[in-house]
Amino acid sequence: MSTVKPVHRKLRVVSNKRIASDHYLLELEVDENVSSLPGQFLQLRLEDSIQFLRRPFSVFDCENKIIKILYKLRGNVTSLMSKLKKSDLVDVIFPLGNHFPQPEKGKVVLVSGGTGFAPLHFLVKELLNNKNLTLEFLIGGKGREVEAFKNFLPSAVSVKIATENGSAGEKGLVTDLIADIEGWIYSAGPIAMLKTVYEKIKVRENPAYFSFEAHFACGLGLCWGCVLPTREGFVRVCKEGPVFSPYVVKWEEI
Amino acid sequence: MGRDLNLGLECWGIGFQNPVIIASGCIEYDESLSEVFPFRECGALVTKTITLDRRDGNPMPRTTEVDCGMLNSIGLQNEGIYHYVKKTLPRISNELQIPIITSIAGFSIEEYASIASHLDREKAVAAIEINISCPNLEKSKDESLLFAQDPYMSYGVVKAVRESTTKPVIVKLSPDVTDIVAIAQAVVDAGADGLTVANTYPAMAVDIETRKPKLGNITGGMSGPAIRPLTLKKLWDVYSNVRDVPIIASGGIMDASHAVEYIIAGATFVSLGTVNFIKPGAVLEVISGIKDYLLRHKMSYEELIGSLKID
Repeated sequence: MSTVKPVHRKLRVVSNKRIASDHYLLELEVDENVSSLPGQFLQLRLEDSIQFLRRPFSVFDCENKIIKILYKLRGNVTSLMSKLKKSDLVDVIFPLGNHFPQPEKGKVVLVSGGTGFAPLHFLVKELLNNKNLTLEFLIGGKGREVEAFKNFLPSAVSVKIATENGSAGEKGLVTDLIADIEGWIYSAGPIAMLKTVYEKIKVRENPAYFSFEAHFACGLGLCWGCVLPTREGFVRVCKEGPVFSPYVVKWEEI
Repeated sequence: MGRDLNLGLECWGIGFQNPVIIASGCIEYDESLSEVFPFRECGALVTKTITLDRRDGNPMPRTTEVDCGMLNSIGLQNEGIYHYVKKTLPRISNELQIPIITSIAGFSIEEYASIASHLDREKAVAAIEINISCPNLEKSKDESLLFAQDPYMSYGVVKAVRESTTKPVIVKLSPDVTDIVAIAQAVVDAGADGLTVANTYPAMAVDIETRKPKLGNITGGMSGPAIRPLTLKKLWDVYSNVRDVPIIASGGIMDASHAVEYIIAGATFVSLGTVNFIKPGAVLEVISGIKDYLLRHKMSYEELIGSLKID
């Protein structure tokens, strides 16, 4: 798999559906020669909005000339996004960032928190093409939206759920579901969650790849605003990442 | 449309294909972005600021959005002058056939002079922009102020650089001063060939829920459209009091009308910074918008510079 060069496009909205109380799935039409790999993201801007900087979103899915993103209502921009209708145009730069490396065989455990589900959903679709893998997905979130997330996954994936309010699955944090796991670990979600995942796997030294969140200004690798402290110095989450091995990260400096 | 109008100009002995340049700190040249960013169409590229030694930069978060703008506190993360001269400069000058203006900063007058003498030997460096005004830099060693806030210190830095290089020397001024004209005059007296007006404004923002500053460095520099009227006034002050020095306008340009506004007030060049993050194609929009304006008003670019009408 190779990455394609990022492009800047006005993309047409195919659909924009509410999938849970404050979560939406936005589908955009792309031209055939642009695609995206699991772990990559796009930088989005709405025409004629008061939004200043672009907003980054992990790619939830990309196939058949449709790119999808999952978003949660968090502020002005996502509120405006929720009003997008079919045929509206959004200004997008994509695909950006690196992507998840994949194992050849064995067990894979994916751990998501909140909308960190999005990049791992895309990854699972790819991993399912490899019959030598067994997949387990641990989904965490605030409440019932995680059930909507679960419904996007095929039945071949074993799923466990934890919610903070106990409305679905186990009550508590998704990281509580991690105990002495084997195999490859993928994780995406808030940084505090990633840190806990790392604490739980570091003794076994499982192969692992995490997708990191950060405040972006450009999201293009131009401004050096979104760095992560690593053993190789500060690296850009938007350019060298967003996917990193947790073993290169200087967690004590985060 | 005015696409066939030529905006080329010569200044400091350098030929520029147009007067729209990329402000320091805003672009890391990256070939993989060539479909998104029109690097080769820019009038010139001002590099990120280079220091003598490598710098890790400031802690996260380094940027935050504010009303009509953003704050940054990158802290001049860079690999230092040796890496720049050996690795970065050959690569960018090879791939970009536009003038490369190298931005430099030091922590003492000697450091500024030392960096300038390293660059003096480099053919690929068209000019040097002295950053005496980065709000994210620690204060100068002997003084409690930024170099740019003291006319004598500013004079000293520029004189030392002037004596270390025959390259054109441009000085990027701070807007956070009581009298920008005094500083501008001091650096011109010290031998500056051009002025960039101006750097970002010191600023801060607080997350009221956590009561933490929104920047890891607590404070940073503000850029974006909110600062444009403030910087325009600084530019007008400098232009109308310090004559015969080409000025690069820098502050909040989002489209061609903003660029034209600065040119009318006295700018010879306009530089784009924050807008590149939002509209990576802004350079092209600004170039064609300036051409359209000139055709519509039947003026040459030179006639437009400083053409403010005051009754």
